[in-house]
Amino acid sequence: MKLTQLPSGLSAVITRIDLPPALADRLEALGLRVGEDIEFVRSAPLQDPAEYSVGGSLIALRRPDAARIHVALKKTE
Amino acid sequence: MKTVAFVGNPNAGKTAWINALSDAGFEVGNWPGVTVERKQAQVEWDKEAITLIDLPGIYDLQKTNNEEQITQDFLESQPIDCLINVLDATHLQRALRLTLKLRTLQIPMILIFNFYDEVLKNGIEIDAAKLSRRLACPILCASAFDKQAGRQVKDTVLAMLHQPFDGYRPLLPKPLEQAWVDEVNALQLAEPFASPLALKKQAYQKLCDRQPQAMHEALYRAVDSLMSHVRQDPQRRLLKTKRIDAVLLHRIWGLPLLLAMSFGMLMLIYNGSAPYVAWLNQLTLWMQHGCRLLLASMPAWVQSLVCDGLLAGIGSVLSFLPLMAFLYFFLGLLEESGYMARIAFLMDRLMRPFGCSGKAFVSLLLGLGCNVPAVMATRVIEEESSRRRTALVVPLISCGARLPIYLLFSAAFFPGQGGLVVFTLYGLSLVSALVLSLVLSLPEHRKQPWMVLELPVYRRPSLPVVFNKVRQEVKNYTRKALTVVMLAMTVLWGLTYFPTGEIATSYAAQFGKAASVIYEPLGFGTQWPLVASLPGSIAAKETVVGFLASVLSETTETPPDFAEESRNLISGLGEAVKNSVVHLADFSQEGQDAGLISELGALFPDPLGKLRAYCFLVYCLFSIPCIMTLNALRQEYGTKLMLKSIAIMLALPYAVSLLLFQLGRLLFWL
Repeated sequence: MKLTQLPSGLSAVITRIDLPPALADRLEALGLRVGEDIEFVRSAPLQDPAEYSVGGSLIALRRPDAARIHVALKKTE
Repeated sequence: MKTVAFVGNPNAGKTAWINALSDAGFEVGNWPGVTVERKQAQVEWDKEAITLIDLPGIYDLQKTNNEEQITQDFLESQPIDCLINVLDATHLQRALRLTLKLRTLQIPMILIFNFYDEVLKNGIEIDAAKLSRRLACPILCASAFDKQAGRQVKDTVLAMLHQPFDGYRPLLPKPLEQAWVDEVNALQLAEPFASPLALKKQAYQKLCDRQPQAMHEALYRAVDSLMSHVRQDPQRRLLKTKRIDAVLLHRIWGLPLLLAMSFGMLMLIYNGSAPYVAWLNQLTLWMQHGCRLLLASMPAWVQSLVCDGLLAGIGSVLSFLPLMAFLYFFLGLLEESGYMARIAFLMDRLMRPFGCSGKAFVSLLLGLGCNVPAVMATRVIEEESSRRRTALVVPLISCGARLPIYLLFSAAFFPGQGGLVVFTLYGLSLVSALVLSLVLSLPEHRKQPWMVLELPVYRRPSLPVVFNKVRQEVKNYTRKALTVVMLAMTVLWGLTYFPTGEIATSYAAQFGKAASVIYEPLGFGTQWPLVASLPGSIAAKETVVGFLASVLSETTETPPDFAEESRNLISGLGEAVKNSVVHLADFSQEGQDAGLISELGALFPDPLGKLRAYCFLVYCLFSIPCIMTLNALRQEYGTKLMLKSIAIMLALPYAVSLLLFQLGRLLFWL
């Protein structure tokens, strides 16, 4: 599932990142990388960008970029 | 002389540390070629002369933006005797990743676990002793605001400087570590005289080039294994921030709150500083009169040069100081608290279609008051090209100094409709600013469409840091502005004084008469005083009013009593302090000269008069920025950008006014 499809309040694991290397590196430095848990926090008032909580940081991404990050929902016990 | 550099993630609190360690004695400048702030301090600790340098905050040792480029270049090319790595102790996972990368540079390093008070409050447990042993770096747990911690840092740095340093062993799994040792040995054989530290650094780099994937994984393994000495609920540090954001970034209330706060800030900046500005203007007048008395025996042109040229220049620089101070204070609060990144978050979608960053909004808004601080405020925009573009757009925003011109002309040509005139002009100014930004961004539209924004946790701003920033910026500004502005003011003075000593027959007036022809298609060229008032507006926009007053109406100035003026000056300062607090939310207008209004109204008696007057206002709105703005553009972005701005603002007002008048005339005849 795409990161943009993640409903708010649910936690997911990042499975794949299809972004240009410069952006992917930057995200990694901020703590957003494959294998990390990520949570959708909110959208800006005009729906874009969107705020995510990952690795103890709050990060805002524009939707087209977020759509190229793939996540899998975590199974809830 | 030893060099000690501060390095760390953005928002890790480095500035507070350099502030505390240098007793707020650091100098603020720019790194060569870019508008990234450079902070540097000379200190003496136990008779050891040390240069402290604050490197721009970075997330990684890459070169994806200016900040990282500068930090990386500095770390690679400059001799550094000791690194102070400041880490946000509530967020070690990310910070340690950078620390591990910094270790590979093989520079002696001290770690400061900053915000330690928050660590204790949030119930985070850090085994600093173990971490220190594994990283082989001294670790100090502290928050920047206690003196004892400052002393500790000094002692640790001094100890570091006098200790022999034989490099760091990278934290790698066994096989990779062996590969690294082998590499170092091999290099040593090949280059027996090279420094062992350089070889260790080189060996690591070679390993990274050869096995990028394995080294990458090893880095995260190392971070994870270090994090086993930290016990923390990662969500907890975000709790308070999330609660505040639920209000400030609210889907419906977020934008109105931003607007309300921005206007509040605008009011506080301009109204809070206005009484001081008024007092400084009074001071300038007093100095001018004083000089006139002193120079009474000198020729008239010397008197006029000193009083109307040089002192007026000093006066105009002075009168901006309170504004600067208030501006930097509030910008500092926004930055330090963490709200600045939220502005970009809220405004990004609105500004993006125009090729602007979300943060450009702050600049454009400040521009409504005065373009000078607005140009300065473009600094907060991360991306260089976007920053430059915003700086070019700012002068199109109608500042407070243009308002008196609008009001005067409204009173003369649009009695009772002043509000509408002013409103349409502001609208025009905003629309054209956005359009210009769009046009300027077209050539580079596809270059960097992505944006990543960290929304840092909210923190109470450190007042010493904010106040010191204000002090440094004001000092910097004054030093740079004085010479340039005085020079330009002298030239402008010459134009309005020579050859006759009368403004109505000066070169400026002659120019107005000669240039009227060019301005005839714009509607207002038929009256030379209007044209002649334009060059003077480069000194300050509101001089248009003063010029028209001195040419059109025959008012005589009553010579003031110097002694009484001096007394007023002293009591006036107290008034100013009082007023700056009392009139924070007050926008009052001064009275206008009725004689001047009727003289002005008589200039264009024909049916197209209103259109002509309006076209003149449009021309004033867009014409060349005032000297202080030009100077700000030059200071921040260099002469080339300033010339570009002049070129735009020579062509744009002419084109817009021309279009408006010709279209309007066409409609009138139809």
